Amino acid sequence: MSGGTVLLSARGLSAGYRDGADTKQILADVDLDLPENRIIGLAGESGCGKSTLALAMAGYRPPGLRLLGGSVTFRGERIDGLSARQLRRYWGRHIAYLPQDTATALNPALRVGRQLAEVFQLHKGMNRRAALAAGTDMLRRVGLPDPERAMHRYPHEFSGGQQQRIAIAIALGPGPEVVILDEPTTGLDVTVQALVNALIVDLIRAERMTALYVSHNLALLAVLCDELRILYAGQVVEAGVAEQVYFAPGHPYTQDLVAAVPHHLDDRPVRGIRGTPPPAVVLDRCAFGPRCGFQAEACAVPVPLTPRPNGREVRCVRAGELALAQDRPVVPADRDAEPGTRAGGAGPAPLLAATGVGVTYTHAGRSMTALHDLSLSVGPGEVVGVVGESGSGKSTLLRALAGLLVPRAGTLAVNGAAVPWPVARRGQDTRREIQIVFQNPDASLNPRQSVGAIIDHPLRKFRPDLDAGHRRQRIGEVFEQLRLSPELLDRYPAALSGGQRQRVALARALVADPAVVLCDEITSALDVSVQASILELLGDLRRASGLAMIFVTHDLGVLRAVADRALVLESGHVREAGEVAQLLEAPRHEYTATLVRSIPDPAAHYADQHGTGQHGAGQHGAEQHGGGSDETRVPR
Amino acid sequence: MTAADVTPPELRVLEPTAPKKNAVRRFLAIPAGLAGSIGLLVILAISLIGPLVAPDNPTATVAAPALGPSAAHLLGTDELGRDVWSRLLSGGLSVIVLPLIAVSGALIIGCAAGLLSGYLGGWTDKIITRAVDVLLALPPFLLVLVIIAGFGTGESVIVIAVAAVYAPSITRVIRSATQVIRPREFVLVARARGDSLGWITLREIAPNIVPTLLVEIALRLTFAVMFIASLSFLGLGVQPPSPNWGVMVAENRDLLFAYPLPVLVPAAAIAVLAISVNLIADALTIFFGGGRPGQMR
Repeated sequence: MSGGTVLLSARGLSAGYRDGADTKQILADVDLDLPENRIIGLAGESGCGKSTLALAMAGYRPPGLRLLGGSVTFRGERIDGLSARQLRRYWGRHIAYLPQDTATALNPALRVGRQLAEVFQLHKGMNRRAALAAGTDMLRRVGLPDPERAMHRYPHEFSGGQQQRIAIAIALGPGPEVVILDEPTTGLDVTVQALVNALIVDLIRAERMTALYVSHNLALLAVLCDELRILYAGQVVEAGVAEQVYFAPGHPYTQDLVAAVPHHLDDRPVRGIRGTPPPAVVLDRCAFGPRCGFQAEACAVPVPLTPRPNGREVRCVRAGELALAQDRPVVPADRDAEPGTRAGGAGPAPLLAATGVGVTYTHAGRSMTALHDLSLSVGPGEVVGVVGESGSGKSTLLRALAGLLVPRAGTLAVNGAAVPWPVARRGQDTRREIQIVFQNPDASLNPRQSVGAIIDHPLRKFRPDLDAGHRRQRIGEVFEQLRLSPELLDRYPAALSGGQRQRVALARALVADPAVVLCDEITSALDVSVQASILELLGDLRRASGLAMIFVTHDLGVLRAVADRALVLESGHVREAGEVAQLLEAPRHEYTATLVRSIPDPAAHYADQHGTGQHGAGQHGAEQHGGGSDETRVPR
Repeated sequence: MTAADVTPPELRVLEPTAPKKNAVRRFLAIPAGLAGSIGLLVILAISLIGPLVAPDNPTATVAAPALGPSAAHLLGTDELGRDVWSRLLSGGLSVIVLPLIAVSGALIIGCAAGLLSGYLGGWTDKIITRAVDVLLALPPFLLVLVIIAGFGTGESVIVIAVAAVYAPSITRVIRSATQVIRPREFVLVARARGDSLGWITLREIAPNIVPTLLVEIALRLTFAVMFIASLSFLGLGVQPPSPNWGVMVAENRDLLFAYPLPVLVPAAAIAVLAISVNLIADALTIFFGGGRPGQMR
């Protein structure tokens, strides 16, 4: 498909995890070539085998993993099945691996300099002094401020983005030929993500390295990579040039993945993918069939990866038969027709209004302002977004509104009546009217209570007038609205999927009929397809019941998908406020503009590239280096 | 519950019991859990059934003192001519019951103080923590001796004294376990809902610290068994002529070299009890994913 020597190659790779006496197969017959000087993107939902494949490409077998067939070769030499000792000849020197969580990748007990110098001593045969010099130089290249002093510091003294830069320096320092990156920027703030990704791609291009970049974010991969591979249930379902795969997906799964990610400049409604990936590979028919909108009888056979025009390969029997991409009706989001949406901001009395909120934390005698003179209001049926990065004060705001912390200044009114801040002094009605839903559904449901008990408690508390029968009826209604099966009522949270847990958390908030629901990043811990279905659900809820929300998020795409108006928060200050579409399309404040620029935008990227005739994705990031001071601002 | 007719009834019965049965089996699959459970069952059987089947009155002189084992007196007789076998069968109950009551008392105080201190924080936490520090700074025997000096000997005094010794360390463990759960989001949700202090601590937090609590109970019981047996040996606990393994060791220690059985058998029984409970504590730690290894104090 592409020229150049293939450095790292998997052929017919099959692997599975030991599951009792059986083996649960999670990779089936995967072919993956990494040709010289190319960046290959690997995408798919969680549980599709992305990380296992990435590790297997490095010859690594996690405990419990069995290779069932096929081979992995580096420059023609087989590296699968080698012992850890033999693999050390390749690791670091020829093949480098950069994991997602650098907090665990750096040794907290050793100074950065020692960890960095080690790789040069080991792989380049340098003496200690030369290795330290090379390390300092590498830290400079990854853009760490004051590299000499940084060498003497410990990992915890750096912010998340800086730690990731150090990990990059360690992985790329010895000049490996192949780099395997597994979601290297997931979990970082968006502006930091953009900077770190630009840095990674610049280094890879400058050193003419070959890379495999694993991510769930297709837009990001479309911008960074030359080619894309889409993995579903352990099989490659689509392979091709990144731009084509992203803009004209050939496999229904790829289409659904693209449609599931909300885009900040696009009003197209987000569409979830129903169901979840199968737990193991499916070989006798199309694995995506049960979730696919185009499933037909012809799909019930083993489907090969078939070449299509333009060097594309697609694993779908109907790929040639339908112009799948254009087939689906696209419903334009007609926001203005929705109830409660207000044009100017002047409308009916707000449900909730907070004025002049200021929050100061005191820690060890030092005080820090978390929020400064913030005002916001939510009308009936309105969704107000609050965007910002970590440390912006967005979660603090929700906690204050929920009555969990008392601001230093500011007033709160619900339905026009003043309400005290601390929850202990609020009336029962106010407590019912303001409900909060948190980011992490694993932590927000009590693992020792059944779903039924979790939902029943708020109802019992806020609606003492209802008897058991009416409560049951109300729970049934809410479950139906949230597309939850009543069977779940008897289960414990551990037996639920992530998406189900988050919907249970929503049900707990909705069951007692709140006026405003405070949502704290409620989709960011979820997989893209699950996130999309929650976003869809929230849209339906608004249309059906005029639900009002304050929606905190760091994801501008999600913001666009759910909110009417938004506030942009930075270090506790409101930088900009207004209609979401206007905010994102024509940002007025420099910080909003930086946020918007940090989102990978494949359309703009390729328009740029074709217009100026430039190649490589490095150029996309280069322009962002200017705004690079953001990272130093992140408080630790 | 509200789910009564939403789901078929079988489901409701299956859910809570099925994992429990499984849990017992998994617990017994741990060697320490199996050995400890067997040991504890044997001692419990002796202590509970023993008094009913004892051949002689444990406090009556039935033969010449210091006889060796014979068909009439399986383990011989002690210094005062009482049947050692009968005293052994009758002397277990107080060895088990007193620590159980003492630890239960310590547990009630420790859990209440620990939950409040861990959940409320602030001044409540400061006061409780300082009080715990002061109590922990006192050597346990000294504390008990002071209480006994003040209130006299007797089983109820012993129980109170031992509860006072263990309550502070239980408070500490429960407090730190509570502090781990407190920032979890389901607790925040309950707070934002305006739930009462009792609901949040007992219904939201407490069920999540049960693993810690079980390990703590087993560990404290081990210590309490040894502690009360030692006190009985010193003559501060259960008073002669009551049959009690600790008392038996004390009474017959002069005969140790001539007739070792009256000392060794009750001593061994105490050891088996203490070791079994300790093994169970270890097994519980492993069972709950090595949560927190029991700190010795």
